[in-house]
Amino acid sequence: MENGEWFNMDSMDGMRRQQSNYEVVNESRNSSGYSLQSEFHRESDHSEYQVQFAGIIEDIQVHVDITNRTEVLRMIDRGKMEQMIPLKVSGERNTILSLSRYNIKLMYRDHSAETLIIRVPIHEIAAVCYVNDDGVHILAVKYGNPERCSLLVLYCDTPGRAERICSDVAQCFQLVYTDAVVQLLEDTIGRVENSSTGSPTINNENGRKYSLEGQDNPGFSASQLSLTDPRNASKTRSRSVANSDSGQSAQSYQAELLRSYLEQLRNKFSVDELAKFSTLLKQINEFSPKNPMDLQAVFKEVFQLYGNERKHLLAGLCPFIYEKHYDKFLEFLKKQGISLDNGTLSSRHSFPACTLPPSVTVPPLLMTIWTANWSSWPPPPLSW
Amino acid sequence: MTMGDSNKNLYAKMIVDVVLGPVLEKLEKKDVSAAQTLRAAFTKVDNTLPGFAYDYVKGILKKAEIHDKFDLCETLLQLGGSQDCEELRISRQEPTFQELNKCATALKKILSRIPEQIYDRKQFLETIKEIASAIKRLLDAVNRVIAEVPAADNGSKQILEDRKKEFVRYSKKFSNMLKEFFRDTNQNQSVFISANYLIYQTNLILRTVKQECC
Repeated sequence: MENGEWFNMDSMDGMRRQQSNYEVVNESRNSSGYSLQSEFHRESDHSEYQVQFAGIIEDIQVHVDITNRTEVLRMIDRGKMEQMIPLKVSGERNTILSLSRYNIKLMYRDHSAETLIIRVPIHEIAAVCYVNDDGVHILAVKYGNPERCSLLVLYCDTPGRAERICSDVAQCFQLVYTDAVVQLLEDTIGRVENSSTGSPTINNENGRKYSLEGQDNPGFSASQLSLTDPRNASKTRSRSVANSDSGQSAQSYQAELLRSYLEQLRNKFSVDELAKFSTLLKQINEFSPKNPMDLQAVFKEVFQLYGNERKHLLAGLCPFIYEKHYDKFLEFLKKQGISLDNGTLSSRHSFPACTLPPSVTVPPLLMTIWTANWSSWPPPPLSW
Repeated sequence: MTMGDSNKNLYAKMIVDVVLGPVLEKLEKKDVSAAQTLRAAFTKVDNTLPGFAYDYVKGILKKAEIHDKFDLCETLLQLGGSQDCEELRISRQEPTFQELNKCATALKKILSRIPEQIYDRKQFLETIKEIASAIKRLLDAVNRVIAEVPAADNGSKQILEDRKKEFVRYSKKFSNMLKEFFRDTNQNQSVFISANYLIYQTNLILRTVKQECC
């Protein structure tokens, strides 16, 4: 094989290469390689596969050519030389890859005990590659954010399993992309519904004026996901999901987003730092500054807290900043040289940022997490 | 699928717009009087007996023994983007009104592609993105028309605003049907029906603007 089988989340161009394999291997799938009915539709759906965990190669350049088999093997060879991954994997421990529409989770499973190795949210995955290197079936997952990528390296016993994992990850990519596109349509409809004709006499049915900054739509901007605001459940349907199942899906997805970010922070911050983070985030979102410079001062404190080594994580904070301060936050990030410009869905910029209305809150949620005993991490499943 | 009354009424109105309308327009070139008489008759009967146009066309199709050879809902949707008649065109030449004509035609054209693209996920998702843009452009165009209505004419403004709200309501229904479809791909008929409603609402906007502004 000249090239590895790459499954690119962004353009799905890589899908075409694997089509001929899947028409043979997976006859239940349609001509574009997908089951018409996704196996990962329900939030509880997940699949498990037995793999061998080789390791994680850090500091992969964002712009590395991911369609090139030679590049992939070169990265893996570098990883071996720098001892990020072993030369040989013993396969003694039972490693399970669990895949759902939200994330890939890698775990050791010994008898009844499970140890989490890594969890990668689907929206952070740039591509998945299967390379057959002289009978060694390598599965590589490139993931990360606009600043930094990593390569998760796994081995599979058989080509069929590797191909199946790739195909199933592609399904999950498609679900994420589908959700994002439908959300885009909803957001567009919501935005145009509230766009004004400029006439002061035009009011809605309830005799109150709609505006993006008004009470009925607190904190929403055009391209942002929304959660149902219980206070306005019978109104403002433009910003909420009419169907409770799909509302639950959007809420669960955002909950997963939050959990994923918090877990990233947990790995990098001390307990005191996390507590300070909670206070600062609350300050940002509840801020009504008389002097705009006061908000900048809070941003600076957040930046100082993250520091130079962790500042790349600041971009991940965007989904949790309320609309009213979102643009200023973006501006602040740009001034600090933290870029969000990446056209791929693996970047924060492409993925619709979400803001949460005050009634479905980040601060109380965070308070719940921060005030809980740290021994109880990870936090219990979120419910809204 | 069981034909609900509301769906039958929708099909009847679509048939008037995209089947009978264009045919009568062609007839007008040969016999204006006959075409206008027929048009008035169909309108009157359909208003008195909602769904008449549907029964009429179904009867013709049965007589021709082709009524079971195609799906009417899908066909009306495909026709909805390709057929246009004078009745649905705004005659005012100002850019604001011509822009509305263009945006309405563009949205209907994209919606009419749904039956052929719905089973190709990648293509269908791109179409949905186009639909989102087209809806935005259409409603922006409606807003510009509303802004041009004289300030003293609040009645017309309100009528147009109500028409816009109705359109938004059906847009949301369409978006919900899409979600259902992505959960269960057997729900394609629901997507076609809601897309047909959206085309019909687009035509209603055009008719209302003609009525209030021309």
